[in-house]
Amino acid sequence: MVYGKNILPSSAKKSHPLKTENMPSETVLNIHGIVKQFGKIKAVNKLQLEVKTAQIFGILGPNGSGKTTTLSMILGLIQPNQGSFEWFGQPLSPAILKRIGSILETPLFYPYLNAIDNLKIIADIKETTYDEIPELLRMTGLFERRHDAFRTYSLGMKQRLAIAAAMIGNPDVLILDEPTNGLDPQGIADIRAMILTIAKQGKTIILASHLLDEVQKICTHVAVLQKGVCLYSGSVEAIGGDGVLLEVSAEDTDLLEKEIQSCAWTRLHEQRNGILKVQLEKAYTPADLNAYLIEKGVRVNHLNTAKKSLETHFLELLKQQA
Amino acid sequence: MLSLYVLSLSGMLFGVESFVNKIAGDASRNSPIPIPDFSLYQFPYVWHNLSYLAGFLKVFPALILIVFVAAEYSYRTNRLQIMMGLSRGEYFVTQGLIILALVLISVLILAMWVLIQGFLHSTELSLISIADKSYFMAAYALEIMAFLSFALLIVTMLRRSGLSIVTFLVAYYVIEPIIRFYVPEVVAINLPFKRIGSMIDVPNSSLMQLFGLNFKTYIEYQDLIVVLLYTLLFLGISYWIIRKRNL
Repeated sequence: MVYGKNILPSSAKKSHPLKTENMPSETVLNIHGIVKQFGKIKAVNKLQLEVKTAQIFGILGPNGSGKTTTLSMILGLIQPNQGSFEWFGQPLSPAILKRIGSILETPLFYPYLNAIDNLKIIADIKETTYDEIPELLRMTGLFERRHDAFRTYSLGMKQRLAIAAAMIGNPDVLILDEPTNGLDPQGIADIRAMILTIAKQGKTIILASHLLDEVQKICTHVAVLQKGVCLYSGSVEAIGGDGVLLEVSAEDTDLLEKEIQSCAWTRLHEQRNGILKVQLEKAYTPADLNAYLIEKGVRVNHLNTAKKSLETHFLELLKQQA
Repeated sequence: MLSLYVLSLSGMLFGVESFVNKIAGDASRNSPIPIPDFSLYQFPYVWHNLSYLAGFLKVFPALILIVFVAAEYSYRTNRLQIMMGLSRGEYFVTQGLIILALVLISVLILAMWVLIQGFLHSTELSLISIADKSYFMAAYALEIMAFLSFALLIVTMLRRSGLSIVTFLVAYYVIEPIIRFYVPEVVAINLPFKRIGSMIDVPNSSLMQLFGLNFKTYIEYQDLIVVLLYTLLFLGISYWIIRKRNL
């Protein structure tokens, strides 16, 4: 791996270690068992993660599960007690940070400066030009208010400015901690579209959220955290996809189970107390299942749409650990 | 607040002569011994005199520094800068630059007033008399710098505006005098504030000489070195804290 090779002329100010051959599925971030302890509380407990190029990696977890602490550590704000991590195979340095755009917790800016000045400061730190600033402000809908002091902004506007700031310097990696926090539905949809557009450009995105819906819609891979421990890590597709999840029960449970197992377009998730959780493939509706079962002679006495698959998994996982 | 400092410093340096002369004038009317009308503003003594007096106002830039740096901590903008790729060393340098800016402003005001008053009131104007003893200005710069380094250390440790101001003032006006009282002479003259202040000692004047008091009219090398060491020590500790701290 030739990470350090600098193919830009040395007079270019932006000589950073990342713009080498952009090989697909190169490891962007590798976390080796980091631990962070605050007094008696282990906020992050032996976390192991790997993020590859062009993935949209979601870090899912309830409040207090260590998402923000983990992100703070990989950004160099907090030192882990144990363990290590690497960006592009190298330890963290300011040069690498300049190629990462991030939002962490609440938006942080100088209250007495306006949007343009705040973004200029960030552009200076990242050693890029001011050219992108008007475009970014337009894209996040802040262009009209760009001359007003930051402290006059609503929460949604502050969040938008944070997102604009994260994108200054055209970073290769975006780290977003709850980016839709405080936005109205239109704003949430806009952010979702923006993230997907950015991902298409081949950038890697690490998204922390407790909104299962968002993660399922946007992310390609996900890691589930609870109390600092990673409960599950893998691709979103492997969890269940987007088909309908149903709860079915019948008087003759065994027959029901048999029929569902033998059906091509259903998948049995689990059975509990006679209620079967069944995953249908995308094209099929509950009515289809009903018709099919009647055909096979199974009389259904309960048919209900269960919650979405990721949510089920998520809550199940959390319940197991509690 | 900066303008307040500038105005008060300027005002003091300008007005103190008339103030002192008025007292002297009143006194001489009442006493049997004629007290000569002495001028503070003669070159070259003016350097020493005004540097000494300006040293009394060094609390102001210290407070300005504390407020400014504490604001960075309370708005968490230090976190923003480090997240965006500023190294911790570079961040420390920005704090150092604030100190330098304050020192520069203080020295410029001093220089301006010294020159103005000197030219207005001096009897003999030769290049030598103007330049002589101007090293007091450098000592003044060091005095302010050391003082501000200590202030930076306090605010870097405590991170809060009000608490830092109170702690700093208490350390300067209360704690160190108390320690000085209890501790043997050798240690007492080496404590930071005393050393910083004693670089530029009370200037000699004919009035003092009348009473047989004789203060230093020059700056000792030992003072310089000790104060420089203190400055480096304070700045070094601040740098170390910034590097190690969890934001």
